Amino acid sequence: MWEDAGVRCVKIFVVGLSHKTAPVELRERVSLGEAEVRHVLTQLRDSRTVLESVVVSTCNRLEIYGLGPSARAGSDFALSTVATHAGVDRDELKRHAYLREGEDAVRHAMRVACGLDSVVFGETQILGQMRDAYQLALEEGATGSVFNRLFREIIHVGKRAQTETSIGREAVSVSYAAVQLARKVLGELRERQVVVIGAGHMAGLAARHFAAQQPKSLLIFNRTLERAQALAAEVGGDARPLDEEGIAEALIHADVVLSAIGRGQYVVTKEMVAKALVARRGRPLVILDIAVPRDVDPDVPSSASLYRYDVDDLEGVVAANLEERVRQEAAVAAMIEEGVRDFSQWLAEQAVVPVIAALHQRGEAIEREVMASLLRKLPHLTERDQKVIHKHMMSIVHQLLREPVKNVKELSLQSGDPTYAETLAALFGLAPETRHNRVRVEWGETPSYAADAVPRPALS
Amino acid sequence: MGTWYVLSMVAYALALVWSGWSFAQARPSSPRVGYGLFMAAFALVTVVFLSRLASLRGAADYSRGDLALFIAWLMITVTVAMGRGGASSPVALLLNGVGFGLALLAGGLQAQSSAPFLPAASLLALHVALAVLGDTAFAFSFSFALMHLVLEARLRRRLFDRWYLHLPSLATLDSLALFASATGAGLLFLAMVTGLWWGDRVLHQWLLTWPKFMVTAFCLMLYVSYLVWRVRRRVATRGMMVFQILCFVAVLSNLLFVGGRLP
Repeated sequence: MWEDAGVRCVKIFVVGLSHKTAPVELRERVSLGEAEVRHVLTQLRDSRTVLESVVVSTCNRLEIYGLGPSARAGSDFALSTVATHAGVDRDELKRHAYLREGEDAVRHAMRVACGLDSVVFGETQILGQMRDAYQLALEEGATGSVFNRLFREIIHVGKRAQTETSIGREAVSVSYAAVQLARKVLGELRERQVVVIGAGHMAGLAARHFAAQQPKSLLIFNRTLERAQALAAEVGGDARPLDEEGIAEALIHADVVLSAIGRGQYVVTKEMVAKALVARRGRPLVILDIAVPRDVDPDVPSSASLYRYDVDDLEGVVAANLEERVRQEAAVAAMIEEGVRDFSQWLAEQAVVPVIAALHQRGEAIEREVMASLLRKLPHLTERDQKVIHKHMMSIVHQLLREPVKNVKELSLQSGDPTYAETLAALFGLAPETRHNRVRVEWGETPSYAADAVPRPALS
Repeated sequence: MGTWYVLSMVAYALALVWSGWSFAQARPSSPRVGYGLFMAAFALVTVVFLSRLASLRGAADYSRGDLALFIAWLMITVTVAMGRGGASSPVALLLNGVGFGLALLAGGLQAQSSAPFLPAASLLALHVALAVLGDTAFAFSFSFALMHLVLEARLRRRLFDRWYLHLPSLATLDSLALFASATGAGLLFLAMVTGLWWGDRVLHQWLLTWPKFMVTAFCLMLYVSYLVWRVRRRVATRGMMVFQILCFVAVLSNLLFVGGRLP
């Protein structure tokens, strides 16, 4: 779309599909690797349909952010490019795609970066993925001033959400919730001894989370010693064969015992715990049983120094954490609105800044001409006199321009209407290049794809 | 203290109610509002506290009300220092629950107090400063013990709510309570020594049988018992935290019923 005044109107749009609109069968087919993303970016860059672009491809979403004269044409071209790459029917892709434009697209990008649109609400990995996607686009030369500013704003908002709220902080997996629970009792685990019973998937996850806390020692017990050794080598712990004596001994010395075997037989019996409690003399012990069927005898004696939790309790922790994440949504939404407002203001300023700069240049040029003429007529002026006159003439220029510049800036920012700046440029007879060949980003929303008709899933 | 005191208490109460209400909501209210209310309460309590300080002829003229107000002011200062997010956290709620109670107590005590006159001496000023700081440390220790009990109960009952999520760990609360109690006990001991010394120099008698000294010594003994118990066991128990709370009840009783009497 080209306007008469030479101002090129463009729109920001995002077209894509995610876990909310497309089945996994389709998502896995259109999931793009780094080389493919680079290729798509190159194709988009070389087209006249999309001026700037960023492609975000993760296992749960494929999104193409674009800036172009027509959101419809740009998104169609982007989808066709992806369809060709992935070998997917374009119409099928379109049936599951959503399209957002203008402010709505910017807000959507920020929600994605903050994890509000993720499968696991509030997850933080997506911010890194968006940062990488932007970096890739930057390397390919697919971004310009608008997307450079937009993605800096998006990443800034995502970072704020992570640092100023607890949206991504609390554990949402059972294995990490176990670590969180142990820390709630014992505090930092640096000086603590941790025992993990089992070397399977869940035990491995828990061992890795515990290892990240850098405990004093990390013992892995398993029936197959080789597996325990492999896991211990990975997490920097020690491996032990699974035997009753070893477990009984570990219960006396350890601060945290996590069990994840689930072979239908108690690995930690009430007798073992009773003996250990006597030997520990009141030192707190956290027992976490994440196995089903349970590994720890539920009839272990109760004690003021014993904290025992099973998988149901840990799922309760996860549920509470998820609830807390949702609770933080309001604060994150406010940050997103601030981000959208800042970007919108920046866009509005872009329409005014060249005119204001040209106006100041014009004022300075006039001052230079008058000064030169004055020096020709009054050659006896000393250097100090020249400086004083120059200073006062510049003061006149600035005072004269201050009010019109201030008013035009305010009116343009408030209304988003670029004609104020254009009128100012015309009034002062500024060079046509300041008024022409400029890009104006239109701000608005017109969703029009199939998946847009689907009500957006509630975020809470 | 007059109008400013009433205004400060209204602001403090509003901040506390807002903070508690926001904490209880499924979706928190704007943290800015809660923080703003705490800032207002902080500013007003600071004005009241400074005006009280300005009206004192010397450090020895401080009243029990001034002490309670100072502790409440410190609690709000800590809350304000915790920032926007901290103002609606359970830590701030509990701290300010204690702080607000003390601030109300300050008003009541101030109304009863008659301006005491004691010969001003730098030794007495030192005694007063040590006693005030000691009681402040005990107030913090009490707050941490309260938090410890709240969290411990949640861990035992497997109640994983926002109190569970936002309170520091049991180990951290135990360390803080231990540190605050040890500091308070040390300061209180020094305050007692300087107080006795002052009595000997000014009144020419050792105030060993003066009720305030005896009750204060009893409070100190309670705290020392807690410290010995805690150090010997090496870990905190629920019983220790309950004992801590009883210790602070003794300190408050000393402040309320015995502290105002002159030798």
